[in-house]
Amino acid sequence: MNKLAYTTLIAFISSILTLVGAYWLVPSHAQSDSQGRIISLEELAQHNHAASCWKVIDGRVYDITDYIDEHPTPESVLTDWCGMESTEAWYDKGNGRPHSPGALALLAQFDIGVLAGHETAGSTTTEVLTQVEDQKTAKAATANKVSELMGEQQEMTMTRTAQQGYRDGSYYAESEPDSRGWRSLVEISIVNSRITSVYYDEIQRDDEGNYKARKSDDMNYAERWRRVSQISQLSAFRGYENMLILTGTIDEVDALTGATSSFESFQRLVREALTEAR
Amino acid sequence: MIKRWLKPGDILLIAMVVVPVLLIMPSLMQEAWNQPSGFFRGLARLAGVIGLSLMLLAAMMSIRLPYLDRLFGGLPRLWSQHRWVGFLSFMLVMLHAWGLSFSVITRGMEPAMTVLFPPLSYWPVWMGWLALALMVAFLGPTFRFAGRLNYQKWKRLHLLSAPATVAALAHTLPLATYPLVWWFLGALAIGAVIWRKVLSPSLGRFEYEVVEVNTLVRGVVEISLKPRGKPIQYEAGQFVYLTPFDDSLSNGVGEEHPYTLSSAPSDKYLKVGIKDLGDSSHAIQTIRKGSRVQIEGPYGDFYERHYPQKQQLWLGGGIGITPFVSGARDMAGQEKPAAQVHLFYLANDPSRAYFADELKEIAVKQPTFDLTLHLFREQGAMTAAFLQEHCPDYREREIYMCGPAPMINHLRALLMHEGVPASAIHFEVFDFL
Repeated sequence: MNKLAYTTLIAFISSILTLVGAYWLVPSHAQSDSQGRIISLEELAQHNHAASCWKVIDGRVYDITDYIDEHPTPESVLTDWCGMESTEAWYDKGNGRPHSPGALALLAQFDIGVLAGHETAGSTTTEVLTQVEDQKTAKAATANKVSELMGEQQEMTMTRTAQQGYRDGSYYAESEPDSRGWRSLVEISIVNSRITSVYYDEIQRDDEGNYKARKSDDMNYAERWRRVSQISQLSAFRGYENMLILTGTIDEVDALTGATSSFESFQRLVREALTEAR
Repeated sequence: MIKRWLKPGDILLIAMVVVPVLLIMPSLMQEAWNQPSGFFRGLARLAGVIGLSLMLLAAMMSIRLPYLDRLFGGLPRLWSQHRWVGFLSFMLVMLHAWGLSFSVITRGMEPAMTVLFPPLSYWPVWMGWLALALMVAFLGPTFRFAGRLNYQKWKRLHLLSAPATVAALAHTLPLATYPLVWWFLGALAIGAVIWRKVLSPSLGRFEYEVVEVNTLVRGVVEISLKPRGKPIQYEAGQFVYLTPFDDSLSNGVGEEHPYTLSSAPSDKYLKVGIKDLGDSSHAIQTIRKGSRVQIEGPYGDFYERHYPQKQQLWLGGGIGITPFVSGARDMAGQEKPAAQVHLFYLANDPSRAYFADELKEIAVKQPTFDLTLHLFREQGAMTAAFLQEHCPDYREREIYMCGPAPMINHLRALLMHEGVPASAIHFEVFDFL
């Protein structure tokens, strides 16, 4: 038995060394700087079935058609998200846990481009890997980005608001539930033709339409989110609200890396709410 | 029939591996039949689940509770199983890591490397590596590059298995689909180690005092021990762990070592026969009267019966005569012993047959006990003819052997050749490593 165990150990070390050796010898392909092709939402939506399945994760588009068979869950778990924004499902496999770094490296193989509108916001998987590795730096970077935005744009606010020309009042919009039952909602108050306050959240309602839960209250969710991204909904929602107040227009609000799917909902709902204010 | 190779306790041990495997079976089947990569991944996960189960099992098996070991066919059998289970776990853990990496290698080097060496923040994988590294560290010496192991050093090094187990659990719990089963098995495993290493020295041991040290021949003593408190309850042929606290000893003070009892359960004093075989057993030859020792036990199931209706043949040599001395002394005190016994005492020459006189006395008094002396220097190695001459029905008896390994090997081959079924032969060699 000792000899057998020893032999296995030597075989194990040999194969791992072979793997490491080969890894160093083969030039890496993951370092390409190009963002890849820009893919529109319309094009994405066409690939919404198992025979051609594209997904958006953190602003990047992945063609995972070849991998559906190999994924270790029933097929429908994957194919339900074809042609859709799937960032949330990536960071929460359904049991509250994110996909592993190993899975992230696999995902990189299927990268085919960047979603239109995410040319700068979307980070490549390699960047995400480094971000995950050094969350503190990443968090600090995000904080800088937000404060930078605020400082830079504060001066412009006064001139901008004058041009806004919204009707005074409060405006509300709420989306249909997504596949997990989450609805986005936004409330915008306008005083003297200026956006003075904004509230954004994502909530769940029961079958009768009664309110059940909201994400801004869910600290566990925030923790899970932070574990895989450099940001959670706690500061992301606030960030979008503040940016909208400061800039006065949704066109000037930038997506925060790691919170792009919320950004999309926010953008859509703000536009919807403000159409009534024109 | 089945009882001979499958003990009641074995079923418990098997269940502890089967339950976790059954739990993940559905998800394994799901992925294993898809693609070659799924097969590797499924295999790797299965190896991981069995590997961890066995690792926790090995820890549980080290609890060494008196009497409980008989459910598992005695402590020596449990130790050898522990060894198998441990090595098997070690090999499966390597298969686990290898398989996970190679299941994605068709997708390129990058994924295969990231599976094994993810960013440090993905710590559960690095906990797995830590567990494996610790296993290599404490199993390494058993590969015997540096000759035979020093038992005490080995025991201390083997304590690394405790942090290895904790690291393996830290690796699995955050990733497992059914963490509850690992919490349960992990608690049992860690509980067993805590009992063995922390609690048993104060709670599991009995206080005794050395009252007599009888030098039987150069290098062999029989020590008589008087209980200071409650005495242990034992059966003939069992053994105990003895810890001496005589500061004048040159070696082994406060260290526990296993020794076979030579007294009968009804005797006033507990007696152990000790031969000078190593540093500690050499030092203990000069243990002082009145000094304190601690006893933990009893263990073993030496006179386990597979055929309760059969007569018995005992073959003892060297210090291996000890369990038979215990058995014979036990019979001497009985009105009507359960079986007819014939003991062959194998010794080099009359001077090394140090228990012969007492055994002869018992043979005279007790009609169900016969004794034959076999002297290697005069008669050579034991032969079938010699057995036939002194004990004509030896092939029909249930046979118990204890002695040095060459003697056991010779006798086993001889008896098997004569048509004695393996199930009727019991033997014990104290060689734990």
